[in-house]
Amino acid sequence: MKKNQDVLGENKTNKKHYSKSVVMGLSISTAILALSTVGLGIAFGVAQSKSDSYGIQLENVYQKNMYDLVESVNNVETKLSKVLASNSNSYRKKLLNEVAQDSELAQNAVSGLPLSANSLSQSVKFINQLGGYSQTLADSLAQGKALTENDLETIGKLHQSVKDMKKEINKFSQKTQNDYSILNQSLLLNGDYNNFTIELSKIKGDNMDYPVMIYDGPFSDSTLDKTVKGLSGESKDKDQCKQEIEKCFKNLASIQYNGETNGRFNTYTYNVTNTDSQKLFVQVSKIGGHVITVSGRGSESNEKNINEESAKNIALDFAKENGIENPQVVWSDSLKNSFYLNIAPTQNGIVLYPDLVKVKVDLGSGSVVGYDSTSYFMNHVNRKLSQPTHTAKEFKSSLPKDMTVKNMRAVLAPLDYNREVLCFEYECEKNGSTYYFYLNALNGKEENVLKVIQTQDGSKLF
Amino acid sequence: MKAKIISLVLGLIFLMSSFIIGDCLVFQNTMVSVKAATTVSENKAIQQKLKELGYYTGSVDGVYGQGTRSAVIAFQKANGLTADGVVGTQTAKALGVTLNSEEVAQSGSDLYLLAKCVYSEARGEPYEGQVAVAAVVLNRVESPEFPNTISEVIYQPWAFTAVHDGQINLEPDSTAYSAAKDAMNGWDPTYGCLYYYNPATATSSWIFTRTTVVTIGRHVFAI
Repeated sequence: MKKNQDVLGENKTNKKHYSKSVVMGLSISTAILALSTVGLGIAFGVAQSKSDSYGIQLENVYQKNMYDLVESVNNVETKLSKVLASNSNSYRKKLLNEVAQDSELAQNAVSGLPLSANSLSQSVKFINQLGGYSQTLADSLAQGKALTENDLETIGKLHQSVKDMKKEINKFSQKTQNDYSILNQSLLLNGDYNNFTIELSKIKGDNMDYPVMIYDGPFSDSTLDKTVKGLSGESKDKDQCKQEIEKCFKNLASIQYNGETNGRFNTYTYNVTNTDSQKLFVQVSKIGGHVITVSGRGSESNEKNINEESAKNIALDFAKENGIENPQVVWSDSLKNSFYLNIAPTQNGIVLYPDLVKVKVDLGSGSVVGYDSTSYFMNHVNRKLSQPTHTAKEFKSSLPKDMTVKNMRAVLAPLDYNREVLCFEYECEKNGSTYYFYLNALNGKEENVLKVIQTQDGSKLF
Repeated sequence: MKAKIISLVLGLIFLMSSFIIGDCLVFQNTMVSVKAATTVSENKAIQQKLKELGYYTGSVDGVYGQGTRSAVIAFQKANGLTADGVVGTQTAKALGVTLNSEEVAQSGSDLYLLAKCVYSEARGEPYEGQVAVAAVVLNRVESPEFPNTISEVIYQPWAFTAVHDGQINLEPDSTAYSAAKDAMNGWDPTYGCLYYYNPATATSSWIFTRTTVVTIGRHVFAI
């Protein structure tokens, strides 16, 4: 019993001691709890006010884009009606140039709005084609041509469509100015599309009729509907196409049939490995068995085993084996171990730029790791080229006087959409910069000027 | 004992809450590194000099990559210059390299942006699949149904999931860079496709109505 008491007494003191520490512990934890609550409160408050402010800023950007869209559509409508009213070619040219700019603005504004993917593509296409068409007309007015009856009729139809669009978009814009959050509506999903998209796409109503625009310019349907002109020969099966790959590559380790690609070109696809264990993806046309593309990473190291001269020969051999007629290297550039070459076929010594073939040779393995002949097989036909009546030397004097000519040659240049023009190409230098001038081989008119631009990732033409 | 656990837990909560605040601040300070605007030949001269001085061990290839950048920063630190990794007039002078003032080199930002898009959308895909994703972006630029510049196409709200969830800000690897460069040069294994999707994860029923051109890796490419 005593023992027990002792034990109890001991327990008592212990308990007392214990309760003291509990009180202390509790007060510390109360303090920590209080601090944490304050801390959490501040954190939450900061996060909340930050996210509110992000939301407001985003909403402001969306509202700005909405204003820009309405403004540019309004301007396009007014300017198109003025084109129809005006009788002066120079004023019409000015207006049409502005319509092209306003269309670009409208398109910029649409691309900055939170629209669901794959929506409104028809409206965007209309705006882009409207801009392209107006620019084409302005350009032809600049060349001294007048607008035809046909042109005016198309402008009339375009104007009607834009007028309908203007009506709807102004109605919608009034709504967005009144307590409407584009951001919130864009976050509410209704099926595949968000609320904002659904409301904006109502603008393209049933009554809106988009005229078909037949013109040669950017975004025109005629530019998009390209057909393959350069493929001929027998249909080949996948084993015959495999043999074509074996002919082109000198250092094959394995070929594995992978499947088909059926688009603009119909091709069999293969996974190819070369003796340097580099993996390549090769597409071969069913018609004629030509290699259309080779995609490969190449080596990641910087160890070079071949020089650029041998790389050129490797690329040319590959192109010849693949059926490219009279290939010639017209441009090359390197990035680390990848040596990029542009190869053009020639006809009577004239370089055919529209049929350009692109090759990437790996300077480590000395193998072709990239190849693209889509332009060649898209465009290459035996062309009837008119013989230039002058020589490149004769037109040299019409170049700017401060240009030092380094090289010149006759070329077929692809100029603004589907137009191929026989030109003399002059490689010139001025203040350490390289320029390419293209003068029409028949009349010496300047058709185009390109400049070589140095970038971190090699040089490019612009 | 219990109290200790309670205070420990509370302490942890407190700590976490300060992390949340910290996180907001860190997020605000994230910056995309600015690339140096020097030409290939200038870069070669810079690399050569850095190599001679022992700051740079890579190859003299004229490509201003991470290795060159770190070497420049080390050089700048050692010479009391602003260590920003960019060779401006001061650093060039200290290195004894003349910058060609006639040409303003471009940073190739379109390529960088395209590489970021490829990396965030298609890393882990076969190389040709990465080229194909880059080609789709470029095909959209050409198409009237989409915006007309690379940045507009990529940053079009809701167009790419990786842009939407912020993965676009990851630094691309050299494979994504190479794939983007190939696509810029005209490679397109999809022959003009405007769409791609992963059939295992695609949620839009609309996308399945498009005509399939080719399947590469996990992506279906469609027109």
